Amino acid sequence: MVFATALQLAGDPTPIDTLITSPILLLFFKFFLVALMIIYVIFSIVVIRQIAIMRQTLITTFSPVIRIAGYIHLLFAVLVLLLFIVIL
Amino acid sequence: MPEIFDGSQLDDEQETQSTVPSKEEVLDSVKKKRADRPVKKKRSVNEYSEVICNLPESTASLSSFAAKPKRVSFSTQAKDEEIILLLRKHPITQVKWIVIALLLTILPVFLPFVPFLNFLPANYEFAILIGWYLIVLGYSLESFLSWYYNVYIITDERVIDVDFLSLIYHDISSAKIDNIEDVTAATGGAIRALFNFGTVQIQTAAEKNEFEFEEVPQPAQVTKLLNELVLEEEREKIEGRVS
Repeated sequence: MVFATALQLAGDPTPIDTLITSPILLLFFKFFLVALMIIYVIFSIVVIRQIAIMRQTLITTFSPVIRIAGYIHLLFAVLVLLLFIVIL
Repeated sequence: MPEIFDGSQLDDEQETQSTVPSKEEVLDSVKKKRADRPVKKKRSVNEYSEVICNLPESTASLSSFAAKPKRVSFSTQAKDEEIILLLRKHPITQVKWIVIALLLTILPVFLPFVPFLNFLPANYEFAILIGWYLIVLGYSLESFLSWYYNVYIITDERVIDVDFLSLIYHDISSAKIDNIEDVTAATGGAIRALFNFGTVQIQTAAEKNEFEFEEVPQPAQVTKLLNELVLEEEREKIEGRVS
C-alpha cells in the first residue's frame, strides 16, 4: 500500500489502475453492459405488450399517447444498445 | 255406425272451427300481449343519485375521480351498461415515485464530486450515464402505467376492480350491485384527512366477497353513491323494472 501511494504521489499509474483499464477487463465490461442492454430491450418489448393488454382492458382517449410513449421507450432502448455496441 | 262416430262425414267448415288453438297461435298471442305491455325503463343515474347529479361529466384523461367519464369503456362492459364513476388512487400517493425519479435524474450531476467511475475511460462513463437515464425512464413509465391502469369502476350494474399487479399478471374482479351487502369508508391519518382520500371496503355475496378501493379520493362520496345504487337496484326489483 505504501508502494502504491508512493507511485500515486509520483503521478505514475498504480497497479490497480493498470488492472482496471486493461483491455481484457474493459472487453469483459463491454460484453456485460451489452448483455444488460439486450435484457433491457426485451423488457421494453414486454412493456409494449403490457400496454397493449392494458389498452384492451381499459379504453380511454389517453391510450394512444401511452402507446406512443411505450414505442419511444423501446426505440430509446434499441438506440442505446446500438450505442453500447459502437462506442464501447 | 251412428253419424257422430263417423269422422269421414265432417265437412270443411266443421274442421276449421276447432276450439283448441294451435301452438303457433298461442305463441303469437303471448308475444302480442308482451309487446302491448308498457315497458318500465331503467332510470338514469341522475334521477336517483344525489352524488352524480351534482357532478359534471368528466373529460379529464388523468383524473382520479371521474364521474360519468366520456369516451371511456372497458373490455367486459355490456352494451347498455353505463360507467358512473371511474376511480384511481389519489395523485398524492404517486409523489413518492415522482420524487425518486427526480432524484435519480439529478444524481449524475453530483457524481464528479464522488470518485466513483473515474477509473473508467470517458466513453464508458458516457455509456453508463445514458443507460442510467434509460433505466430512470423505464421506472417512471412503469410507475405511471401502474397508477393509470389500476382502476376501480362503478357502473349502474356492477363494481369492477382492475389490478395490474406486475408486467405479466393482471386481475379483473367484478360484483353485481345486487350482491353488495356492506360498504365502509375508512380515512386515517393527517395526509389522508388533508387531501380527502381513503379506502372504501365493499362486502359482497359474490365469489370474491371483499373489494377494496384503496386510497381513492372522496371515499365518503363513493360510499354514498354505492348506497344509492344498492337502493335503486332494490327499487327495480320491487317495481319489476326491465334492466
